[in-house]
Amino acid sequence: MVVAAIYIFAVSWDPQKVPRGSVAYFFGIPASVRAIPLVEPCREPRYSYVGYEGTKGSFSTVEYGSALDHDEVLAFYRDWFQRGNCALREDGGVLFADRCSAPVHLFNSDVAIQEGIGISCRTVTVTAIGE
Amino acid sequence: MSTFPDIAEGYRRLQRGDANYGLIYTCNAGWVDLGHMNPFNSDPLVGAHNLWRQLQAGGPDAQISFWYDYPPEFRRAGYSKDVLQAMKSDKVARLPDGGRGFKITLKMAQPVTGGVTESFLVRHELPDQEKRSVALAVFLMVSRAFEQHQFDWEFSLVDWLSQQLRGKPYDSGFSQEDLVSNLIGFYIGVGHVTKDQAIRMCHPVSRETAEKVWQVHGAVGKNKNRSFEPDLSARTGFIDNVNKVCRDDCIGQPRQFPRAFQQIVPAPYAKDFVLLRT
Repeated sequence: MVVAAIYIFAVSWDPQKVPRGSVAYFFGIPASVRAIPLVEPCREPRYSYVGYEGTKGSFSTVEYGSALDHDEVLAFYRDWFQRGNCALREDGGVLFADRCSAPVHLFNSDVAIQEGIGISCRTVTVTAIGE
Repeated sequence: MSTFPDIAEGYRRLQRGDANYGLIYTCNAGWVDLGHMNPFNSDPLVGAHNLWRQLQAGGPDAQISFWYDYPPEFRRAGYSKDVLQAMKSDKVARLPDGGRGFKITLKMAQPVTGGVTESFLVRHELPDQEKRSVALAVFLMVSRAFEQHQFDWEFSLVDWLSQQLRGKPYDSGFSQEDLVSNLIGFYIGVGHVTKDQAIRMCHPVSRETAEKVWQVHGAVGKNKNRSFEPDLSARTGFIDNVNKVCRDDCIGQPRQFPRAFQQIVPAPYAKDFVLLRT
């Protein structure tokens, strides 16, 4: 039991690029970040988390590949954020969402999508601060 | 405490107008941690903005803790016998002069070690200017206590575990940029300046220069700063090997902490606020 607890603590302290289903994913990634939907995934998601520190909020990311193009991915997340009445804005191809409410339990987040033509599986990075 | 990769994150966010995480170097405020500088938080007890909201909202008369008759540090605060007796009999918290107030709480937490949460009794119906002074005094007290808490854990099993598990030392306590960034965030949180104004006044150098400052002086976590005044580097000028010129991003800047972040005077302890048990 003690060994298991030490193991869980060890792998869950600021986990970096962990896959779904791993121990670090369940114990080290906030539920609100695990709940971020993926759109047409063509590469497995990887989750990272750096814990909060005083006034500084935590920093979480989920990075995966999507088979959709840039605008389709943005449109998907725009719809999803709107369900949580988030304050939305877009700048330089990045979608920013602030102060969301249920069912989107994110305080401050953004979605950045790999630019470029002819990419069949483009990298999508969703970042959440303060989870 | 920030790490070297946080510089890239800070400048990436600065460029796209989303400066709420990462590390930048500035001519007038030294290293600024954009995460510490962010006064907004989803937890209503965390951050300068939520502290200010509590002070503005006020509240009912605060009660003394169920287990104790007096506030902590009541001797230091100079309570008279009559006021202590009154608190003991009706359990309503009082300031040393007998005035009543409401309770506010500020939390600065972190995983593994817990962090610091402090509650305070604040006099009712203070004018806005005095409220800001109380807010600053409370914010500085808790910020210092939190950094000390982190510092106390540095030379312990936690540091060893951090090295083993995360590959980086646990050297967060009084990290060079923490208190200064907190203070700038406070002025944003109480509405004295906007985040954009604050960043402009600090005057960020380029990412390249920031990385060179790090290389010259070392990690911010190793360079301790126990004050709310920045440690400024004199080495912001470098030879640009591409263009073969000497470049200094801080030429023309005063290289002094902006006065805008020194305008509020912290309230003296025990005049309009005292520590309460949480």
